[in-house]
Amino acid sequence: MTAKVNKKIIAWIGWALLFFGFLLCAIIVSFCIGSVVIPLDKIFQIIFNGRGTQEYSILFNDRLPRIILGFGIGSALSLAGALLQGIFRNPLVEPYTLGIAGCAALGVCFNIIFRLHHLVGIFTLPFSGFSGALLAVILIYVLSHKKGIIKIKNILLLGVMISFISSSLIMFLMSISKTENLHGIIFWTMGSLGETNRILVSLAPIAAFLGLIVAYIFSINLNALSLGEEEAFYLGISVERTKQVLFIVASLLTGLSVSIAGIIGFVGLVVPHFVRMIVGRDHRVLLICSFFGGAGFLLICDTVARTVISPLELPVGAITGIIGGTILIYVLSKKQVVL
Amino acid sequence: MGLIKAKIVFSLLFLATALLITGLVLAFLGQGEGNYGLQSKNIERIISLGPVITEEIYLLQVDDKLVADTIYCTRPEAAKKKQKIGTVLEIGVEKIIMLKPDIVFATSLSNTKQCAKLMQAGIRVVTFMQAGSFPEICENFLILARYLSKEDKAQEIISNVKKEVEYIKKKMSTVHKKKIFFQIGANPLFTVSRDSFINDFIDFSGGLNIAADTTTGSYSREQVIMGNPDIIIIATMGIMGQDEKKQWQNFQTINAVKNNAIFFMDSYLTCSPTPITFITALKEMIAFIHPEVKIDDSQGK
Repeated sequence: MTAKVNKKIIAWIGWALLFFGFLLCAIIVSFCIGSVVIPLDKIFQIIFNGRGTQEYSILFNDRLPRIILGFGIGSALSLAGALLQGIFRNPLVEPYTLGIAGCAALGVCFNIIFRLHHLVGIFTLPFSGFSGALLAVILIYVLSHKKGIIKIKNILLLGVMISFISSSLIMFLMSISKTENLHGIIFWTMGSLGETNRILVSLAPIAAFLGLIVAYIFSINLNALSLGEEEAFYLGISVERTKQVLFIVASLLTGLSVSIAGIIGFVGLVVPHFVRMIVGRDHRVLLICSFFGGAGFLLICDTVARTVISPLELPVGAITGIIGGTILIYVLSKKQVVL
Repeated sequence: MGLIKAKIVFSLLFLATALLITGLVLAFLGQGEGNYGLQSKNIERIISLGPVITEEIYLLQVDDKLVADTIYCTRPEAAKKKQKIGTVLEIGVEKIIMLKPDIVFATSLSNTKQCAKLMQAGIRVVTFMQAGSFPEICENFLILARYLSKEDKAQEIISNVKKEVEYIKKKMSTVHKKKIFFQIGANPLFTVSRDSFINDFIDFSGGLNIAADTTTGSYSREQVIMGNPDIIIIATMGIMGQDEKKQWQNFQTINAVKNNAIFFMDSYLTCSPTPITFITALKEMIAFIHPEVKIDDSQGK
């Protein structure tokens, strides 16, 4: 083990701890700040003695589920983005360009308009989002699978086309829907961490964490894949299996996120790029840091979204776009970075 | 050497993340359902999430108990001065919790998830469905009054209003019915179906809604031309209203255009009626449609 490699590994440890610290800070900030600012020392007091007070309600009924969701969805989306960028070796790839999110949105739209949720109960909305995502995945898979090989170029084109078709279908559905359904759909497309259902909220971070573990197992494969598929194959990596498993993981994470929180863009695109610029391209450190970074980023954006023009709330997707896009442009213009 | 250190640190980080997630989730799941306190508790602090509810609270003269309302609650003037907790579609949950309301009156447009959060925090939330007819407007008013222990006052107002409406209906029943097109939206063109209380305005004032059978409210100009209304009424939507009038004037075959019978009505008046503003809007509509009929204000009281 050379000194240079040692240094690199120490740097990894540093970065991983730093990003974890960033996540913890974001969680604390989200707890403290809102239309009512509750200072940190008061928080401990409230947690233990404050049952029944207004501040307790705010912390546990309003902010806690948002934090759990923000954590789960931010990390899921940026992990999915990092995985997809690793498989496709293309900087424009993220859960949305592949049509997965578009189809999930279409599924939810369909559900709202045809009032299916009255038939099957409260889970149908996320379920239909998930089914939409699954449909996109199956479609892309089947159509681009030739002779047991997945062609990357095909998938990208297909994904973009599916994305466009989904948006158009959503617009079509919106134009023929009744007015009261319309605002439900629009709400949903603006993205929000306001979900109240206990099971869904708890599911988000758990699924994201499981996704991280599975992805981590393939992190060395991803590193090899970045050299090119043939090179990776000759290095002994099972290229097809890597692509399959990771594509499915990324799609499931995206489908779940979109079904629970609506459309929150940019997290899957911006965070992995930003993290890659800081920690490098090795997936053993990139995946973990994207996971923490994405979670922290979404939590901060959500805090901004619900505080800036309180009592009104901005859609969190707008904030992720503005902040994320601006940071990325700024960093890109400063460094001569190759994505 | 470094690699082993890294592996240990990373494993610890994984563990820490798992613990963090578990901790947060358990803290969340450990919350019980909110309790509403004593059901019979006196209502002293009210928050309204809709302009109609706010206006009705002023009608029932309990506005001193109104703690906050939406930024769209602009009638009467005094309502503008109340604390604001958001729009009709989105509210500030934290702010509402801090205001300690005894009851929150929501509408069918209110964000259901946010209302669920309020209920989980132990706040009583009562939702009023959008009224689809004049009887439903009165019914909603009565239900609101019951919560506020002002049922007698509400009954009084409603019976007066109903008498006036009956009188008007009777008077207009003998008049020759005119065809009306009531426009509430432009780009896309939107009108009202039979299921709206605006249809009641049209019915009671001796008119016939040419779009009564529409299902979504979406209507095309061609359908309007075929329907050939005698009168077109546009609910004001700012500048768009004037543009729409000019657009209609291009179609000279429509009776309304030939007779220059295109009118504007205030959208607040027509789209968020209380029992009292219902009468005001009704009389205004009669003035447009059948200006020859004089409605005596003292009748029916």
